[in-house]
Amino acid sequence: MKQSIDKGLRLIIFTLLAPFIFVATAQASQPVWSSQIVFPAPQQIIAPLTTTIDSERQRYYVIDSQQSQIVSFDNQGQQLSTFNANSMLKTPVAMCFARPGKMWVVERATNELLYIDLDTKQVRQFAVKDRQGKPLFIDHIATDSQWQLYVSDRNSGKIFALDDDLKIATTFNATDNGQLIDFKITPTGLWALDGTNQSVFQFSLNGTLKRKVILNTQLDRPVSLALNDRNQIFILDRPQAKIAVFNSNGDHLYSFGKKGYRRGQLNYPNQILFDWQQRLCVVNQGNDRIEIFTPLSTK
Amino acid sequence: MKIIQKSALFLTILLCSTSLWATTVCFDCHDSTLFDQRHIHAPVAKQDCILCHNPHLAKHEGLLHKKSSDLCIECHTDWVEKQKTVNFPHRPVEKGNCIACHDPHGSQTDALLKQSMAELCLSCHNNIKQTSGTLHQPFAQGQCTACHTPHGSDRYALLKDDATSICLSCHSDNNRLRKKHLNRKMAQMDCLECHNPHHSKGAGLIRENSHEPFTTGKCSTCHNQQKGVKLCLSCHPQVMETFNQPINHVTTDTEHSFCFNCHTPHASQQKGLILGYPGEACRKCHAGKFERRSKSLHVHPNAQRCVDCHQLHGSNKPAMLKQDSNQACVNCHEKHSNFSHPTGDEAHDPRNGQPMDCISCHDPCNGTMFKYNLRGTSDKGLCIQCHAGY
Repeated sequence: MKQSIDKGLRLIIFTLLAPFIFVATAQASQPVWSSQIVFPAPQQIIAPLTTTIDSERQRYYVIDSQQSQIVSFDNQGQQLSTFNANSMLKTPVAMCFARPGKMWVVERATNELLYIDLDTKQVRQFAVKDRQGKPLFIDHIATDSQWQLYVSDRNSGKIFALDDDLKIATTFNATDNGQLIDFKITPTGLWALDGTNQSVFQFSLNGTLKRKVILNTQLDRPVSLALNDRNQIFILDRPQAKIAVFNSNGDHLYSFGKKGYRRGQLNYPNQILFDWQQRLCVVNQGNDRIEIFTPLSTK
Repeated sequence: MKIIQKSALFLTILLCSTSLWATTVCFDCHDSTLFDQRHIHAPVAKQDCILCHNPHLAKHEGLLHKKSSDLCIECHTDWVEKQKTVNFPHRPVEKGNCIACHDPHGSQTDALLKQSMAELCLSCHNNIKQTSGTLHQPFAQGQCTACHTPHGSDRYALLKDDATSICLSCHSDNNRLRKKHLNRKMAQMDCLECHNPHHSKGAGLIRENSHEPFTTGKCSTCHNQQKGVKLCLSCHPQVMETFNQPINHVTTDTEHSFCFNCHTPHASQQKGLILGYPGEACRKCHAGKFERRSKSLHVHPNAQRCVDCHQLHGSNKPAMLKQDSNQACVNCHEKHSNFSHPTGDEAHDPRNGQPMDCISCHDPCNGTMFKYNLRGTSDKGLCIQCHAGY
């Protein structure tokens, strides 16, 4: 009789404590992100704007719009070379690779797309327009595994896949008057951030909306998203200098990042993306540097 | 039983006599005629000084039992709960500074205000002080509460209701009014977009900076024309170049041009036809900034004048700062710029390698918890971030 009362008591106590144990375990598994690599050297690039990663060659390409060039770095952050497309770059704001040896660059000064052949040094300029003939105001660009070009248009808040003639082939549209401001292409499709409604959309590459993920925490102004290989969603909140991490359902898991000037601290960060080693690359614009964060350990 | 009844009677008499004794004693020293006002606070009228004051000792100034706002809300409970949920609390209320506006003893004005409503409101809101030109009647008569609610509101500028609804509560929605507004439905209009609710040098309280087609009555220049930003660029093509910056304010065209997010196509109080009062247009998207600022202890005067430091169409500096953003500081702090910490290329910030400037140590935009909008004090780790040897 006494034993059965004891068992009952233990069961009740365990049931009561279970949620706390679960939360404590979940918190304990939060990784601590630490700044492992910082580049470039001070004063070398002022207010870097965006970064592109070449996973195959393990290189980082940093857009230096103030000095009208693109600067490449190796996997340890050592500078390799600078490139200005025979002085054709004026105010570059984004780039991605086209076919091998070719690249696309968004040129803000003229609001054009530049197609650069790295072998022949030839540069071709394109003014991309929507179906009504209105110029696109391109912010971010990326290519998929078939080298199809995708662009985000700030003026419409949409993402477009462009065909070989740079005509709009597919439109990726947010629901509820949302505005898509950043996107990443992953093996699971195209993921886009709706800054207005603080949600993330997953599309298949043919433009079909697969699902909408509502981010379950209050952010000030999200500007960039990245997804790791566990499909966790990382959102960069620029004014708060924070990176919020969500599971694929939009539940907030944890946040990290602190506003400041010192190493590991963020000041008007502009973009996040994962590299070939699942390291988080942060364009720390206000501090004139790129920082590569790695999960050191768990709390 | 009789003993209990006698004790209760004794205690009651003792308390009454103590209270009476206390107030009598107070006025032995404190001149009672000073409290003889047109409107007297109820406890003062009852000579119940010890309701608020401790005659012997207290932690709070004026020998108050509690901090003034905590004391006030003990009796004035009716609006406290509502006040906690409003989107826009009045700053003195938020800070619990009831006596910024009210005299807790007595006053010549209603609601125990320290001065007349107009004088009191304009003592802080002096940017709208104006005596010339056309004055809106409630403003001229100092009836601020005709439109504003002084403790807090869910609406910007502490408005009592939606702006147009307030206007239409006095200005009847009749044919005469509609005729002046292209026969539009008045309830669907935003009166404050074109009219200044306080004063204006223009007729009909039209805001003083107006768009030329609006001034000349050439409505068809814009209306029933092409939509989106193309409409604005058809007259202002050169403006688009100012957006061709790495960091810029291009946003989404919705029903109209994205220019209308910040500009009005009709009339404005500000140069450049910027919507509303300084900072009002910015707040619509950057509410977080304004919220952080409201929680700071030390806020830079005129921090809401964003245009002083920011290049609003586009910039190649983070936060869309102007190229010469330090100049905004030097304009007022000229002497400080000469003797202060070295800045520019002669002093690089060891934290990020950038040339030091005013905002390396100060944060005038968000405000801070430290004097002079410093990001810390010498004992709170500001200087030692760079000067660890000290």
